[in-house]
Amino acid sequence: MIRRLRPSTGIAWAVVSSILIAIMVFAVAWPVGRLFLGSIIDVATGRPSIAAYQAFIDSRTGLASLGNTLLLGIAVTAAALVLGTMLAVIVTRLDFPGRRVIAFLPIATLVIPDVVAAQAWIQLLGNNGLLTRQAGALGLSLPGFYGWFGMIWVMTLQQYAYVYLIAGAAVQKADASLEDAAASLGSAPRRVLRTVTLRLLVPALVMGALVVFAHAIDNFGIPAILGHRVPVLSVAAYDAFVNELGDEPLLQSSLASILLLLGVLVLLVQRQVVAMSDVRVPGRSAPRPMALRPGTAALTTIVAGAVVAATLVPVFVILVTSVTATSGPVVHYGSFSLDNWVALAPKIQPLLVNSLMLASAATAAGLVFVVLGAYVVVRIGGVFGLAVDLLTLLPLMVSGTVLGISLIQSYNTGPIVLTGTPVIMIMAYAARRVPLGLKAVAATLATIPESVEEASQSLGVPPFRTFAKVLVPLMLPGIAAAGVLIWVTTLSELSATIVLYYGGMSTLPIEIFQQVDSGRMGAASVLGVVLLAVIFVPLGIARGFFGVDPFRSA
Amino acid sequence: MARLSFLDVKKSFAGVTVLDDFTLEVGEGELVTLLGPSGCGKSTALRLLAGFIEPDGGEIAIDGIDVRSVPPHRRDLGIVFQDYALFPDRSVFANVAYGLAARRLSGGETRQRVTAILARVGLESLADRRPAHISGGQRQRVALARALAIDPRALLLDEPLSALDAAVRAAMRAFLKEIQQSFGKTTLLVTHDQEEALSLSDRIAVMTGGRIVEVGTPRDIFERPRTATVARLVGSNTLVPVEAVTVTGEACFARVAGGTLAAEMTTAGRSSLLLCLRSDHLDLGPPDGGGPVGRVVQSHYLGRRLEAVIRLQSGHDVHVTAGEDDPFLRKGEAVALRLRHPGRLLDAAT
Repeated sequence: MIRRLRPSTGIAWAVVSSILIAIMVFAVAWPVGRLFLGSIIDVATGRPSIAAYQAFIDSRTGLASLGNTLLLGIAVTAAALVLGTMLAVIVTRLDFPGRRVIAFLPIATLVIPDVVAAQAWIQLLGNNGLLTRQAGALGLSLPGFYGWFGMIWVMTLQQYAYVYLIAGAAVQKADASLEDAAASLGSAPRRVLRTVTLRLLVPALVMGALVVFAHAIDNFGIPAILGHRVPVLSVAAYDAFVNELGDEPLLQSSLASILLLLGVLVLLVQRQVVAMSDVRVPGRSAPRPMALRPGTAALTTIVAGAVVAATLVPVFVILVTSVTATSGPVVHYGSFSLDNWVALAPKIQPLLVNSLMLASAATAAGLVFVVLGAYVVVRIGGVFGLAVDLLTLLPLMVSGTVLGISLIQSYNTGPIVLTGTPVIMIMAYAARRVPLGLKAVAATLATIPESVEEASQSLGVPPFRTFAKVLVPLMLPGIAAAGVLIWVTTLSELSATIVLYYGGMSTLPIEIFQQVDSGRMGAASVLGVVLLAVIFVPLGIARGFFGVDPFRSA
Repeated sequence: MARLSFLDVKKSFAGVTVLDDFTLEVGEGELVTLLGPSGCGKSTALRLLAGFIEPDGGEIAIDGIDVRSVPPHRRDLGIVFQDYALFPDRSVFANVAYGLAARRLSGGETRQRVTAILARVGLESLADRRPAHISGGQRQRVALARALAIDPRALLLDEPLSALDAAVRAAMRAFLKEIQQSFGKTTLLVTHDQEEALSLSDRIAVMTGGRIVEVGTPRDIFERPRTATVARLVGSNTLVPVEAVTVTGEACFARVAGGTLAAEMTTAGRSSLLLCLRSDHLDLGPPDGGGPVGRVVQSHYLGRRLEAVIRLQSGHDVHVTAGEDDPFLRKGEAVALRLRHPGRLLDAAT
């Protein structure tokens, strides 16, 4: 809703809006815009130039990485669609033992860090993996895990939950009376499922597919660990960044710009889909799960349970590995040992301090921004609302690696130097999570009638104090959800961190990434357990104390 | 107490005029109602006075002082919102005390004032409850108490009773009247409910299409509308075109739909007049009494009375209220209309 600035809005909000806009420009729009301009303009002459893209085409891996990225995105999206939709329909429409537990667990995958998942699956399906050897003993040979198989496998398990959540919400929103209507018009249950239920799901599935696709092409951790001879854009951009820092940054800027353009494209399509797919049904009653015969029900539990178990396997693998004797990549399963913990004890504390400090700061900064920003977008509207709305879309188009590279390029030299300070990391973390957080808070704000604010003002409380006194307390559920979201996702952030971190400011995911890269599975597991603990404990507290379900709004 | 005035106020949203040429004066201690169908601009007028929106033109004044540049929180007006707008996370007591905190009253004084006003609206026993845990009628009282607690210069009531069910509404209407009179606050009420307007107001301003059509006492508006528009909006009237008017000494008759009915003397021009037929002033008789003749096309049983629609030979449908035992109210019956009291003659152009 866009409308003219009201006189009751007051000067305070005009100032706040301007500051928010300035922050987004500084943290995202300016660096990313510069990065893109850098790819089409010759720095020396200031003239348009395609030299960067020429370098991209000429480079050994440029075109291949673009093709691989798209292929990977499509493959993961297709696999996640099948898995997510199947599980969503099973869990919402069929009644079987353990339904509630199985319905909840996939959400957990969204907070399992990619590095942890990648490491665990290497231990199971890698060259020397537990399952690989089991299969070998049975005379079966599994395909090589490094490369396409590993990337698609791990990414699908890490990301199908997006489809699952979006499709599940859509099934629950559909009105049971629609299905009843179809049945009363003479359709058999199977036909009802096909002609009514799945059709209503189509917009949600397209949405889910786009979300997964965007994540898949942006992902850094999984292809960096498992990709090996299959280059993708995010890793290629990072490699170019590492190799060319200080040198001519042509390849780096074209790789990053292509990744950026892909992000813009996906977001544009996504917005189009949202605009077109307004088949929201005024649902009163959620559809009832169908009762199954005992045999079928048990089979359903096993199938759904297996999928969910596969997504949670990384947690068990690293828990076990962390207390098992290891020597490099070789894990001596069955021999209990605390050596890994003892060896890493001195390392854990500084890493934990860094990770917690960065996540706390990013969460605090992100929350302040998101709470004020939601008000500007939802209530102030006008030019300010539009500007904040559009600027907060930007981070959705920019992958972590690209944002990191652009921030380094912009704030490495010049009047403002931020590289090598925590500020640049905190800024990148907060900016990346602003879209999600803003959505969560804005959703809560939209449910609060404007008359409540007007009542406060008419009773003598000025606009900004009304916001603080009346609205913020009412927005708390949304703010808590946004806080948990920012906290959890920031703790496992890798793609921007790997570009931005500096000596003394390493984080848990960075350290895990490096340990996995050097094949030290025991050390990686210990750090993985610590990381999971700092992610899951606050999540549990939020659910328990505030009844917050951060992923409902996501 | 304060005087409220609108002078030639204009307001439009996205090019659509919602308020035009709006001029109204509410005297000290007076209760004036803006009555009109939804979308007529009545709530816009109230929100302009409250300061939530800005007029495009004209002047809005309180006690003769232009308040257009005064933000809402400094206008000192007690507002009761249609949805009450209670703070859901605060107790009844805290809701009422909210405005006092902004006025920097001491704790003791605040407590005293809130307690007194809660007692006045009969809510002292519910002071600790949250709004979600009290009834609709009680919420309405909290909203009223909260608005009155700040001792505002005037009260603005935006459809205050529309969210209540019929039984509670009647009781709340009486209560609202009592409170308004005992506090003596200048009040601007916005409603689409005629009964509410008629029973509460000192004066009513009837609005349609962003303009005030007529201002008058409830009795004038209901019984002696000066315009055809008001006659259509207020009461249950049917307006039929007059073919001719005959004046015989003191009496006046209008010829409508081929029959003759008693009419009030009028000073209105003789061209295109309408005769206002009040449904409760009409009698039905055998179709040979000289009145316009028609057939009963519908009749609805409404408990204490029957409501019928008579289709005249001219094609006009006339609404009639009759006693349940009226022998003529059988569907298809041919009947003639008769007016118990002379009908008003109104200019069709008004």
